[in-house]
Amino acid sequence: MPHGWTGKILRVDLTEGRATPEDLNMPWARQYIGGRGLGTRYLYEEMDPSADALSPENKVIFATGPMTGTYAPTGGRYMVICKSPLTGAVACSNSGGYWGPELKFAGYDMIILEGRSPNPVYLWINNDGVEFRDASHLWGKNTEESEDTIRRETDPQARISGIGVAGEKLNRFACIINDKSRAAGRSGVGAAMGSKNIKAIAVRGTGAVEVADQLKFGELVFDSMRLINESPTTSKALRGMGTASTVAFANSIGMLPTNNFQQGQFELADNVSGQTIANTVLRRNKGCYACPIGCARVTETSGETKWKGHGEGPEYETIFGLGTDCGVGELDAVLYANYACNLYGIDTISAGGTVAVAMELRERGYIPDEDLADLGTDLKFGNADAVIRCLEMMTTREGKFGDLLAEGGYRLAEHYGHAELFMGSKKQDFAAYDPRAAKGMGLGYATSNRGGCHMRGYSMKVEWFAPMEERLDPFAEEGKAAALIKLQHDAAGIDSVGMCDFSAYAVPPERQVELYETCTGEETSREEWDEIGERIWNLERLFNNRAGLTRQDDSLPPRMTEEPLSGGAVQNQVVALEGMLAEYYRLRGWDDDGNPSAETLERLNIQ
Amino acid sequence: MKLNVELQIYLKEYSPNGAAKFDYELADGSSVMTLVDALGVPDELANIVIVEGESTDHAHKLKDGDHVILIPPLAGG
Ligand code: SF4
Repeated sequence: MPHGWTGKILRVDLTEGRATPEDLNMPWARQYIGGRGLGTRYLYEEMDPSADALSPENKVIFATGPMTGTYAPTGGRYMVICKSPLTGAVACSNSGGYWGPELKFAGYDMIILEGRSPNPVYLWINNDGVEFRDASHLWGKNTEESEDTIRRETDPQARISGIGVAGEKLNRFACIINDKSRAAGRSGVGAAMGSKNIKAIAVRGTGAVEVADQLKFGELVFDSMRLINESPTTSKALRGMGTASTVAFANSIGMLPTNNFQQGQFELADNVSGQTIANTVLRRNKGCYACPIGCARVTETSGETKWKGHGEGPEYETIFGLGTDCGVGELDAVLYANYACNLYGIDTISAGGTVAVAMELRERGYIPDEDLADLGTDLKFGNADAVIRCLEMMTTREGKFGDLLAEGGYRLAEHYGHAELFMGSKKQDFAAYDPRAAKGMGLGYATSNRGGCHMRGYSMKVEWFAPMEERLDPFAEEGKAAALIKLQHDAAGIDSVGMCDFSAYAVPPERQVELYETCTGEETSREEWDEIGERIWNLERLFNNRAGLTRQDDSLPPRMTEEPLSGGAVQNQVVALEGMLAEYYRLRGWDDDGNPSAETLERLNIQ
Repeated sequence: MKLNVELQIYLKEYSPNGAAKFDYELADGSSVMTLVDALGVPDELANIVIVEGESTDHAHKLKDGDHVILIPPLAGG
């Protein structure tokens, strides 16, 4: 068994109901690290990028990294890679919890789902045993009921990753949920799974992941824990208040997207801030497998409003998506909407973005009354009932309007003749950072291989969160292309190795390299790590180009490039994208249309 | 001069009265650095400084009535 790996993947032909173990392609594992990179390599090899994402030709790949299932801090990640039903580009969504390690313990590094099952099924992997089980009784069940039922039917210790009703209904931004509340959230990976008629994958494994140099690896893990405990970002901000700690900051700066990015400050921001959450609805903190940070929050509504429930969240992104960007400042409503998204299996960011653009379309008079007859409440900013009702309708595709919502914000806005009001790139909604207050985020959104997203080069790190003396001017365009490229490569590395992006605030790439080396026994270097990141980025780009995406898709809506924000420190700022983009292509070795040149591909050894 | 100070997230630990927002007296001509030192906030934790809505640095000279926000290193996501 190769170190850091089980050396096996499971190929699942859903059409035929056949599961076949195969050897992991080790040269690819070496070239692409694992997880995101390796999964993309398989996808690129095996599917025609121009095929319909909801057709049986799409493949849905569950991929772990070499660190997944070891005791490296945050070494519990897995990724779902496929062609995105939302963007038509490559999708790779990353999740924590315990499912990824369990898959390794069962003896597999990766699962490739192919074809389409004639009937609803779930997969039960119990160490060596693999069974296709009927899931017709689970169809229509939410993620929690489905998980509980499957656990009863399999093993009390089984780990389950699967879809809710939104995935079954092919909502284009349906997510995959594991361990009840951890989400492979973005780009509609849940719809791709639903299109294959597979509800869930349950796994139980009793093996272990072997590392090459136990002693050295152990020392590095120990020291990495120290780094995490000493870094104020990981030990105080993330551990103490979770990602919600960012709300107050973003509002003070004037970059907290409000009312579909029409404003950058929200008058009710205090109601939904990390501090308020900590003081009121927080029950306890929670962490994923082998995570010393524990950024997750378990919460319960106050009991004083009509919105009642308990669950995990909200993250900063969710507070923005279901809260501020829809003008909603009632904390209980945001919590309730968050729990609902987890149960339905929809991405909170895109769900929120879709409702936000719907609200703006309605307020501008572009959605006629008759289309909203089933909504039962006013579709306007600040109306929490409308948010919650839209979530229900988009999940089940209820009526014409629910059907439109389920197609995502871009297609919705396009339907009503105003695609320019959709706040995203490549048909995927932006995350919670207004790029007019961090120009590198603008370039990052535009060039992200999976569409609008903050996890493909988080430029906030260098524009706002780095130590003052190292920080780049957030309002300047100069230097952002080079800085972003480096961040994009770093993100590809940490994703692929199977650790959480948040650990990287304390555990730098140099240390990730050392952990990788002692885990796998493979020698590499910081320079090579960067090159692998670049290789992954270019491979994703090639997939997208072959899927038909062009330079036109590396874009931002006119609101970002033409309409200045007012309020906060962000007065009069717009994103001058074109200059940054040209510089970005040049530095990447791509032609003017964004195609990697032959020399670039040769240098990176991409075949 | 009298300042209106806001300490975000865990910087609240350095508040003289335990509240995240409070008024604070400081000698005329003081800079942000003087305020940071007076409150006992470690320099590197006062990572983002906003005075009167504008992002600025530790050398910034304060004036009477200024609204000053200090923000520690963060991570969103
Ligand atoms: S930092 Fe948060 S998301 Fe990352 S592994 Fe830990 S608990 Fe999970």
